[in-house]
Amino acid sequence: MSRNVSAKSKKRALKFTNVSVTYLLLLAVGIFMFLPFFWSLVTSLRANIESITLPVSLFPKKIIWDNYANLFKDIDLTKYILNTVIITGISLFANLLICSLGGYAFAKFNFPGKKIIFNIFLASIMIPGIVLLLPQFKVIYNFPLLGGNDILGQGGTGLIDTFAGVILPGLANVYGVFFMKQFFVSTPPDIAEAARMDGANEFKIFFFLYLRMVVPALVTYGILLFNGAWNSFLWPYIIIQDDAKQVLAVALREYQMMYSDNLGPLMAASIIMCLPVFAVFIIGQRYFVDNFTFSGLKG
Amino acid sequence: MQRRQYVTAYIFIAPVLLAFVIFIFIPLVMAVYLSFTKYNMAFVSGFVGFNNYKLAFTDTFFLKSLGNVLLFTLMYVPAILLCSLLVSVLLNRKLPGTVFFRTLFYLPAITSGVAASFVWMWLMNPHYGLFNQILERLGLPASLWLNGRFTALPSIALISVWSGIAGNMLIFLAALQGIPKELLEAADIDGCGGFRKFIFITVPILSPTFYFVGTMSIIGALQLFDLVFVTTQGGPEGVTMTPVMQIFKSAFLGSEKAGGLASAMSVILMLVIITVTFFTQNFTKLLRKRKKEAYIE
Repeated sequence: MSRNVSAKSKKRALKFTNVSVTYLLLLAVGIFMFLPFFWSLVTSLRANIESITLPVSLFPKKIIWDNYANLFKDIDLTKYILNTVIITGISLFANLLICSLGGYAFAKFNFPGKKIIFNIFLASIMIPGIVLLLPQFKVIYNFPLLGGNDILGQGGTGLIDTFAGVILPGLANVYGVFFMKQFFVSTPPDIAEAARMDGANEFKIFFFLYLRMVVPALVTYGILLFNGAWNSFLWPYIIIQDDAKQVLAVALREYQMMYSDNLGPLMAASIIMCLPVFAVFIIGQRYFVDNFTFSGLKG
Repeated sequence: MQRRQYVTAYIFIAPVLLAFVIFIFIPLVMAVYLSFTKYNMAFVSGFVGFNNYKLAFTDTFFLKSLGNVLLFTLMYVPAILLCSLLVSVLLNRKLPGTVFFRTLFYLPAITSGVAASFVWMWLMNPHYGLFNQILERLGLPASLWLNGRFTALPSIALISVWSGIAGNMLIFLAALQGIPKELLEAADIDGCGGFRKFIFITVPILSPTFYFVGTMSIIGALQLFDLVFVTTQGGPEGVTMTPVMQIFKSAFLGSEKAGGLASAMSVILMLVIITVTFFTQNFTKLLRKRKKEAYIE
């Protein structure tokens, strides 16, 4: 009897240390993950001189907002934010629409060539992005009939320096199609059949019946798309040359090149860059679908 | 009826198919074509045969950059696999507060690379950076971090692990949740400890996920760009120069826009990536075969 009790308490003690070790590790990882955010916040909220006085203190002695004010004074941040919002918004909605349409077609219809197209899409995921960078630039540069180009794409600069040039290549989004497909697969087919009996056309069935069933997936993927578009750097850097059309990430990089010693405003800029993304993520998180992985890849 | 369905399906799939042809299929063919031409990023002015490839293979900077990313891959990929697996196992215990930690851990993944680079440069600043302050407090020698010849690449790897854990952690977490409960319960009944359960049940079931995450990480690591471009710009002494930076430089910076050479470099990098992934695939197959043989013996 007593042996039994001691074994039980031993097990309980083991479980207790197990749980504490887990929490300790979680905390350690948490500190590592959060440290950069904490440090940029602290640096952005105190005078520069305080940041470079050794030994440096962990918290600001006096909280000031000058760094944020200076940042807005140094560059026309509102303009860049507006550009980024427009580009992010358009590419988000266009992507969701195109990917849902494609995913729905793969999930709900049989058509000649379906398997071939699906496999080509699947194979294309393995193409490293860098190989497509230069030729995509050429496609944008030589886009026919736009930006002074003739029908053969010669004579002008095509979609260079336009928002369309930034957004369009992102619409060839095979991942998105697979992502949406796996959610349409699990929607019931009989609703469409009933609606067809009633004479509803296929677009009505898609927009008013099925798209509503996958709203959590749309929100989840929308958040991922938002992050990607908001943070995208290299492509807008290449496509946009006119400062009036520049996006936030590139503008902040230029700012850093010019004022690399302006620590406070630079950290303020990082915080401003992160805030919308964090807000969207944390608000949208409760709609998150658990199934993050692309099980839709399995044919 | 059947015919009408085909038409509908094609209409639904048309936008993404069109975008795919214009922005993936045509560019892929073009990438190879451009690598055999003289191309100044505006006009193609004639074929040059294998000249661009000859130039690329005799360009010591490019070859060195390939070596750099291979070294980086060796540091980054094992680290990211281990860290994201560990974190996902911790989260999978589903203790109270897990949702909070999962959200916290996910923040680096949605942070702009440019913004994160600023902060890490500041944390790793040799004079006033927090890291050196901590090292000093602990009585350890200060490090040059991103500015040191030998520390720059490991520093980049550290930052990459920080931003890469979250995405991979979610993939591992999904796989962990797919492990049948009966299996773990049976192991419990047989008196298997947590560690043995992990080694003999979790790890084998996770091996396809391991392979997937590993391959994707290798493909990503070999194309390292944003982080290096903002923090070290390839320095010090070129130890963090990467092939993508070389491609970017040849094509877009400087007076001579060598698009043909840059295309050749990107095709070479693609071939390196394919080779490395192929090699790892066969390596894992070999390992599995060995393991099976060991069992039979």
